[in-house]
Amino acid sequence: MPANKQQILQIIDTFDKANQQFAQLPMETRAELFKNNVIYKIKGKARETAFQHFLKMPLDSDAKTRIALFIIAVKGANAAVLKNFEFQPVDTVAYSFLHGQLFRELEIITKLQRLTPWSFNWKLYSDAAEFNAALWRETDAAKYAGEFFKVDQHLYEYLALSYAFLSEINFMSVVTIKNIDTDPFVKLLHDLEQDNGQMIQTQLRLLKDINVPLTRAERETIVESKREVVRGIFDRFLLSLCEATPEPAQKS
Amino acid sequence: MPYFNYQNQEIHYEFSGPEGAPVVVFINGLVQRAESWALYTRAIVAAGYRVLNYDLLGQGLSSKPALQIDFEENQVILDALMGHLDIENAYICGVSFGGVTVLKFGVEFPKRVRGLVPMSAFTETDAMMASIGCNLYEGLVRVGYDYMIRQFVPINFTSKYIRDNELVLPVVIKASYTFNEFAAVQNIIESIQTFKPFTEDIKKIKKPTLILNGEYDPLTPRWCHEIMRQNIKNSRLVLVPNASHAFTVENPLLAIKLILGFIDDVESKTWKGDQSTWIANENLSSETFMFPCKGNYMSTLPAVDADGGQ
Repeated sequence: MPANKQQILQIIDTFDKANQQFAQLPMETRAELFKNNVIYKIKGKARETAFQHFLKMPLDSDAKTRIALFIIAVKGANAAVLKNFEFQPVDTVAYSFLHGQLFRELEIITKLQRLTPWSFNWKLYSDAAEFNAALWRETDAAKYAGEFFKVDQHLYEYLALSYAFLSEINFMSVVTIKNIDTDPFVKLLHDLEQDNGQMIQTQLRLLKDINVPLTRAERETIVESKREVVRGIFDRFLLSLCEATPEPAQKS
Repeated sequence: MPYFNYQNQEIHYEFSGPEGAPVVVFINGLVQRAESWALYTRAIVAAGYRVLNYDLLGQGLSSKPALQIDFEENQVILDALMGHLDIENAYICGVSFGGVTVLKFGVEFPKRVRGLVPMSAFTETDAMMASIGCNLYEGLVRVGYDYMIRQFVPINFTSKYIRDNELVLPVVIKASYTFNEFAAVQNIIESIQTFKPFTEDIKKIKKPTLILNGEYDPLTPRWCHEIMRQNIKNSRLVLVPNASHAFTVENPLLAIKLILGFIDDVESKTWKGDQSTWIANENLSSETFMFPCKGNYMSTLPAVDADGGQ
C-alpha cells in the first residue's frame, strides 16, 4: 500500500536526519567520503578489471612505460596514414584539419617520450613490440598507410578507424582519478585525451557528412566494426596491465 | 545489470520496488545516469512504489551510437522499454533534457501515463537559451568534456551550493569520466539541433501534471514553465525556492516530497489540476507541502505604479 502524506513525512524525516548528520561533517571529510563512495559503473569486463586494479595499485613507472608505449604505437600508426594527406591536393576543407591532426599526433608522441618515467625493464619493450605488431595486423592499418585517398569507402573506413583510435582508447576512465593534479604523467594522459576529443571533431564531421554512397546504417556498421577491433585490442592491453609486471628473463 | 535490446542498441535500466505497485519512471538530464536517482529510488520504493531508472541512448551504460542520436526517439524508446517490462502506465518524471522527453511522452503515449512531472524543462527556446546551448557545445568540441561540465556548474547550482560543495564538485566531474563518452555526449547535444517548438502539442496532455521550476534557474527560466502551466489544463506549477536548474540535486528531499505528495494526490483522487501556481515549502517536516503563490511571479522586481509607488 503506497504511503499517505503522514508516511511520506516520516520517510523524508528519516532521510533528512541522515542528511543533516552528513552536512555537519567538515567539507574535507564529506569530499573524502564522497570520493570513496561515489558509484563508478564501467561497461566491459576489461575496463572494470583495470579500474578496480588501479584503485588499489599505484601507477608505477612500469605501468606508465607500458601505457606510453601503447599510446605511441597507436599515434604512430595513425600518423603513418595521416602523412599521406600531405602529398595530396590541399584544396579541400578536410585537408587543414587532417594536417593539424598529423602534427598533434606527433606532438603527443614527443610529450610522452619526454614525460614518461621510462622503466629499465627491457621485457616491457619487447612485449610492447608484440602489441604494436598486433595493432597493425588487426586494424589493417598498413592497408591505409601506403596509398593516396579518394573520396570513397576506403577513405571512410580509415576515418572510422581513426575515430575508433580517438574514442575507444581512453585511460582516464580507468586509471585512478586521485592524482590527476599531482602526477605529471596522469595530467599528460588527461590533456592528450582532451586533445583526442578536439581532434575527433574532424572524424565525426566527415563520417557524418562526407559524400560517399553509404546509408546511415552502413556508416554506423563500418564505424562500429572498427570500434570493435580497437576496443578488443585496448581491452587486451588493459588486462595485460593488470597482470604482474613481466620480469626480464634470467641469464642462464 | 539488466539491458533492454532496442533495435540492436542496449538500453541499461534498473527496476526496483514491490511488484504490482504503481511505477515511477525517472528520465535523466544531459550528463546524468540511472544512478543519479539513487536517493529518489530508495525513498520512493520506501513509500511503496516501483521505480524505473534507465540510461538514455548515448548515456551511462546504454549503447553509444557513434554517428547520430535521434532526439525524437527518446520517448519511443521509453514506450518500448515499458512494454518490455509489462508496465501498463506510470508516473513519468524527468529533469532538463529528460523533462522535455517527459512532455513528449505525455503527448505521444497518453495511455502509458498516470501522471507527469516535468522539471526544469522547456517546450520552446529563446535567444538566451540558444546562446547558452552554443557556448556549451563550443566548450565541448573546442576545449573538452570536463570544461563543458564545469560550464554547467554555475548554470545548475546556486552560489551557496557551489560554496558548500567546492571540494565535492571536482570529484563529481572526474567521476563522470567513467560513465560518459565525449562523442556520445556530443551526439546527444547535436540531436537537439533538430528540436522544434512543441508548445501547441502539450495542449493535448490531459493527465495530471506537476511542473517544477527552480527559483533561480538561468537555463530554463520561469517563462518556460509558465508556458507549460498555461497550456496543460490538468496542471499545477510549483516553484522551488533557493534552487537553480538542478534543484533535483541541490534539494533532492524537497523534490522527492513534492513528487510523492503529487502521486498521493493522484492516487487518492484528491489532485486538483487547476493551473494554479505554488511555492514549495522548504520546511521538510511541515505537513504543508506548498503555499499558494500570490503576486506576479514572472517578475523579479516588485510592481511599480505610475507615480513610482509600490
